[in-house]
Amino acid sequence: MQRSDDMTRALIDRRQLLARAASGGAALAAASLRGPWAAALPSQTPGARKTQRVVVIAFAGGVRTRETFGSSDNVPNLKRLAEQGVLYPRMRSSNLGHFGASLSMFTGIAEQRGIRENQRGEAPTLFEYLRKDLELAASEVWIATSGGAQQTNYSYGLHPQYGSRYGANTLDSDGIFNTEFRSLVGQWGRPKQPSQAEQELLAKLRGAIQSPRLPAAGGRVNSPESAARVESYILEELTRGTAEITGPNAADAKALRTARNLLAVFKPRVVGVVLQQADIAHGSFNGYAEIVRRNDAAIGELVAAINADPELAASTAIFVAPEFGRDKDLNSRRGLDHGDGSDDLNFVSGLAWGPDFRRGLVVEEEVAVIDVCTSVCALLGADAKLARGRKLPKLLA
Amino acid sequence: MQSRDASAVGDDPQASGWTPGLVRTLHLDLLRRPPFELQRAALLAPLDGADGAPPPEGLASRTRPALAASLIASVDFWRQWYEEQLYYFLLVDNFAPHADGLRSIPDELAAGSLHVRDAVHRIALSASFDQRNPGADTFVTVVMEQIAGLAVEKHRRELEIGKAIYDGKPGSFLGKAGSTQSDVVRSAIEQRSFAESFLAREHQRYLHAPPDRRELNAWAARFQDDPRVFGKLVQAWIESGEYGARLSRREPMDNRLFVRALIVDLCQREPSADEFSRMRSALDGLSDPQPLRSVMARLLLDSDESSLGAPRPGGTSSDVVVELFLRLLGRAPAAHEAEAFGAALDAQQGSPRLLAYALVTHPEYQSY
Repeated sequence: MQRSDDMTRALIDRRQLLARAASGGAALAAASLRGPWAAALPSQTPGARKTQRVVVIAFAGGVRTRETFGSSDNVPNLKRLAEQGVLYPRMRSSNLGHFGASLSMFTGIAEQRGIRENQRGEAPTLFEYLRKDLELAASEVWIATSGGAQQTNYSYGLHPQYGSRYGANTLDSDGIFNTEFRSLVGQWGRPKQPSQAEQELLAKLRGAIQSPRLPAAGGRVNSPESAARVESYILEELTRGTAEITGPNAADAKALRTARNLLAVFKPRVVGVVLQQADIAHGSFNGYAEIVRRNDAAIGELVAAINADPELAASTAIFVAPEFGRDKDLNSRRGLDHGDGSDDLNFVSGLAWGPDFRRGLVVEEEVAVIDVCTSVCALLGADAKLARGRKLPKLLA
Repeated sequence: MQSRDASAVGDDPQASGWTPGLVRTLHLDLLRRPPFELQRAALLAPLDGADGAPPPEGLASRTRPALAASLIASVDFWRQWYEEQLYYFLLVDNFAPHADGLRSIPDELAAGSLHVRDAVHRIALSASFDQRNPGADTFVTVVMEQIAGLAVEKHRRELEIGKAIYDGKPGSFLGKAGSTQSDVVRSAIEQRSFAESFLAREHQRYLHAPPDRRELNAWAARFQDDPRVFGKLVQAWIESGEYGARLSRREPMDNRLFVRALIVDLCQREPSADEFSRMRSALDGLSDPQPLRSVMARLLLDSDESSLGAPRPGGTSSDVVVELFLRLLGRAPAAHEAEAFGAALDAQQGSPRLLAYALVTHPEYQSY
């Protein structure tokens, strides 16, 4: 496996280098000049690493290794990433229901959650650790999901030292970027941008309202400035092609497309992506395999977009892991449930790819899905102090 | 400009017990929408000077219990109750049920020919519920957690038995014999733990607070004897001192309530099913829905849909501002609010659009 193409694309030009050096980004610029896949820096402290942003993809919905790295051609893009990074083929998962298991990847704590429980967990998520420790704005930390309202709970937990003020902006891509909502918005017309005078008047009016007994401002992730950027982004995204995506994995593909666009627009430090549609497997093995293939292709497009942007290519790491696998044997509907306690269910294959990671390494020792939280936080310099996972072994070059 | 004295129409819900604020809050809690203008005007007309006037049609008296009884008796109340059950089970969007047997549930509940336990049972037996929870493990887990109110990790054996029954093998699940998927649901719904978890959830929804444990036990016992008691329980909750305490604080609007309130307040109509579903799904897809709520408000106010977009013919600035506050916040403006909004109305050539936008994007509007 060669990364020469990536390296070529990633080389920044002289003007960019000078601009970065002038703005104090000399270390990053120097690292980028050496190419994203040059040998790792001698020091592996977070400040010295090339990794400035991370994409965490929960390849969720229940996906067995048999249909990914155990199959000859379902996931060529994931295989390519693994060949250029580190593969963990024995990653222990917990059958906590899709919601609880995916949440555990972000909290580093595996605890039972109701399958349809539409409530936040107690533990902080990696997004909260990162926002708090690195003092990141909400626009720096995002999650794109495909599973509806329940998955907005991945944004933040209820821990009193963390919570909504450190939460991630969550976008359920299929819920927002769909043709029906777009046509509804279109039917109302384009919003008129307020004039400067109107904005000033609006501020006066808001300031004049004196409300008794307002509830605490819980659930507010964004500052007013950040909210304005998000508002603008949503309106822009509605006009892009995301809403047009169709096919059996449309919701998952929209989440990955949204992640791609978020990276381009905000260059955030962290983007989580939560997929879900592989769960079609309960009723159709073939449908499930097709979802796996299509999601792999969509991940390939995301990686290509990262590689096409020199700044992103030089500084972005990707983690991919299912939340758990599926049963060993087909059910009576020729589908695959998840509840037999087999190794197919309890162990999945995860991978890590990025400028600071080893290349082409397969780590056979047992690791865990909850290790993703600890590893991402450590990579970027945050302390997932309540997480119970460990750093993924043999990851750093 | 002159402002109406706030105390004259009252925004203190504990003062007279019959205020614009109370009328708005009760509608939002029980019908999950604000009152329409005509309804509000009819309900509050006696307060505008006709002291001693008879209560509005359909009300026994101008009191909180009478208004609550009138709302709980309406099909609208049961329609919203049904919608909230569907949302609880996440039977929305692609999983929203369309069968006649389910869509008739609100009418049957209002007519008294169906009670809430059987309604939940019918929902759980629907094809939508089955599709939403595919496979034995998921289906039985959800039935145990969401219907029987049990923590599956503490009842692993029951889960395995339930899964076997789901697959057609006879067994005893939660103490009741069965051999079908339907039996799994029936066994769960007949549990006392269903009554307890259901009533605790409903109490939380209407009173925005968890129930007292001892009271919950008593309610569950009555509910087990006869589930038709549910409407009376809701009535008693609304009449309670605890609800009085709830009225002294404001609760944030969830996205579903915000969508319905916004459309009713600005357009004086209920949202269509499709409109509601799309707006709710979009807002639910955001961990912080505030930016999109503002976009929706702006779009509606700028569109022809809103009855608030155009300048009002006739009436003084004062009248327009008072009307806006009553309609959107359920209270009259304080003097300095009336002054600021009156001046803004004049600056906007009489168009209340910007004023309404300031109000509906304010935290006070988005709580109640």
